[in-house]
Amino acid sequence: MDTPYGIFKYDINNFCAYISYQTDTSLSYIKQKKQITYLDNYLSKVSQHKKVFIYENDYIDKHYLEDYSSYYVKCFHSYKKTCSRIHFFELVDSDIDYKEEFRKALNGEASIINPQCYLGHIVIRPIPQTFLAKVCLRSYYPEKERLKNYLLSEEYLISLFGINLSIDTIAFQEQDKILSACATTSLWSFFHAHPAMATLYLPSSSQITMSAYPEQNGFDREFPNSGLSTDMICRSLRAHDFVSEYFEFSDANDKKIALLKEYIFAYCSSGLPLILGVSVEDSDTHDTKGLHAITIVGYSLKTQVPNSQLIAHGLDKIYVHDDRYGPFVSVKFDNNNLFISLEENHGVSNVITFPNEVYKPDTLIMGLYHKVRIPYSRIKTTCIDLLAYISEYLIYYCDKKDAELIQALKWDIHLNKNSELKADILKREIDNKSKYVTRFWPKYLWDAVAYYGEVPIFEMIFDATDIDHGDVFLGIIPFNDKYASFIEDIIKDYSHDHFKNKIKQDHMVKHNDSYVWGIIKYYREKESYLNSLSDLFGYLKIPITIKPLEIKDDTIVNRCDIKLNQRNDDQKFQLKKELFQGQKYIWVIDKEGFLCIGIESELLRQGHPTLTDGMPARIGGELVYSATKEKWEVNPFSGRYSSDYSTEDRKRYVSNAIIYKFTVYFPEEKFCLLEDKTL
Amino acid sequence: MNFDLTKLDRLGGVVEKLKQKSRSDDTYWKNEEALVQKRLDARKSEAKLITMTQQKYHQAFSL
Repeated sequence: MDTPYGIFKYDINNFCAYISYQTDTSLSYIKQKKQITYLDNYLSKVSQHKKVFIYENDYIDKHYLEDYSSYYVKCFHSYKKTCSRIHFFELVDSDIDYKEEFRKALNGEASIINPQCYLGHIVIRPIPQTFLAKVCLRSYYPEKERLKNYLLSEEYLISLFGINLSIDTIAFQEQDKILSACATTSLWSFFHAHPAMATLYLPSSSQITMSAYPEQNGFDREFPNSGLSTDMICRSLRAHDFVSEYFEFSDANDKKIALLKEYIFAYCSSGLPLILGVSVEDSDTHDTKGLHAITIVGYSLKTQVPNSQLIAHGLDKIYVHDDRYGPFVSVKFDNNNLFISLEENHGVSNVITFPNEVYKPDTLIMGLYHKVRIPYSRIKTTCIDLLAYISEYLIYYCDKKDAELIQALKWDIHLNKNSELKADILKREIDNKSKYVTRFWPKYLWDAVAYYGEVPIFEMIFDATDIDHGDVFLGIIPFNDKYASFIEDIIKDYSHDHFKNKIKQDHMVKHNDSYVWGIIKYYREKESYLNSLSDLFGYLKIPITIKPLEIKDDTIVNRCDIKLNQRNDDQKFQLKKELFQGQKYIWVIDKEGFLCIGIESELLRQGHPTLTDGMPARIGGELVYSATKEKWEVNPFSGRYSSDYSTEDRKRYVSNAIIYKFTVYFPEEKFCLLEDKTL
Repeated sequence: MNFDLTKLDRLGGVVEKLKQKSRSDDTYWKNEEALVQKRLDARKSEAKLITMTQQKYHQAFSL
């Protein structure tokens, strides 16, 4: 063992022998260890090919070093300060001379020792029995399919003697039974899996355990650690800048299991790990072994469950980092419990078999970024209530069959980030993407996607950072323009009727565990004057430029002859069909919807900003009388106010200006949109 | 259930029907409060179902 490294064809016996040497643990103990059987099974699932392993005899592991300085260094017996590390590579061609390949890699030549063949590594603590310090193995579902199989992962960068490698996984460790029991270990995996946790600040086991104890405590000693309770786990989460939420699921029945699935799906499918407390039982003898904490890092979703409005209820497995087994352990929902079994592997040991176990759900703990304030339960209530109200509304005013279409919608409720949602919108085949992606939204959003069968129709967006009694609802984004607009129109009609019939606000607000009122209010406010002005005449914008000629004595020249907002505003003002040579009418619709008209002269070159004092307006253009048509031709020729719109929008806004402004204020005149290709 | 997407075309007709309905007919809204109450009752028990007890809060996970 004097060489700094070694390379072997992977075989469970020489793998165990190496660990035995490094940790002073008997070979039989290692071979009968549950985690070793699990890891051997796992490696054969991740790659069917033969494998080689390369060990580094001395490797400095930051977390072990931290734990070493907290505890092991003070022991009478002298423990090593450094760990060892074992790397696994798959051998696609089993006849290849892998030693020669490694030699090539160490000389900078092309070799099979490369990132594509890399399966991961295991860091071995130099202490007996509990030696698995950090296990980073390739996950078996690399594609993150939220509605199928989903495993959390982070990218880990590795340098093996200068050979750069990387792996997408979540690190796993085994409790050392000194500085950590299962709860500390589950927190350790939780921190590794949480996207808000910076790699630099990932705490070691000893740091986690210590952070779980209050400064002046009446608790048992920290080390050797005998476990953490929910309040201690929450204290540790808080010490690492997370806020916690927790629920109890003991004596689980159908309803509780349904809720457990909902919470797991809502948060885990958003990329967040969760800590699950379980009561462990032998599945044959039903002997209770004790309470255990594991980290949920993924799930498997089967096809939709009938009679359920939530996609989450289709959850049939969760994947957990369980320090009694290993990383990404598949745990199956079975008859209101969780069922775990370890495949027999006589290659590892033919002496011992491991009984199947039942994990009875006990506690669910979530650690969230503090700005995620609105809980899942309220968003779920809002979505389900809204569909219930709309269904009743349709049964009453339309037909039961119409209501059934609404009732058939299923919700996929999850947390989303503003940037990720907008990036997703840009990939969709929908109209007016810019209308959605340019909206001002908070960083964290609750995103409720409504599915019809397996097709997403629309999503409702909620502000996850709002105050509890805020309106929270931010709008509907389509996946399918046509069907989303049908449903949005139905919700609008419902909201409009709600107000029209003077349903008092407290009628809804007193049941303030949902945000249906916020949705109704949103659609009511959509009908506000300023919002409808934006729909009719375009959005507000400052003029693109203001020319020097338009400014006199540091003030913008005012050439507005008339501002009209009602038919009787100024009856004396008449449009002159003949102006002086080089003059023409210019117009804009300003912020409040006033039609502002003035005359621009070729000589003075003072244009549209002089109608608004340089303030924002919606659209502008020219007004020219056509003697041949005997009509006023209205165009959107304002470089300052109209140039940002598409041709289609320009035409629509000018047409609206003709209908709602020009024709109303000048009923004796005739107006038309200029027919010109340059529009 | 058959999730033929074209079935949702029917909702276009629903929008038209709603536009034509009599706005002065408020009988539906007279029942609204009862419906809201029904929804509230349905989930009241749900929240209590998973609230953690003090005893559980202090129980250690130690396996």
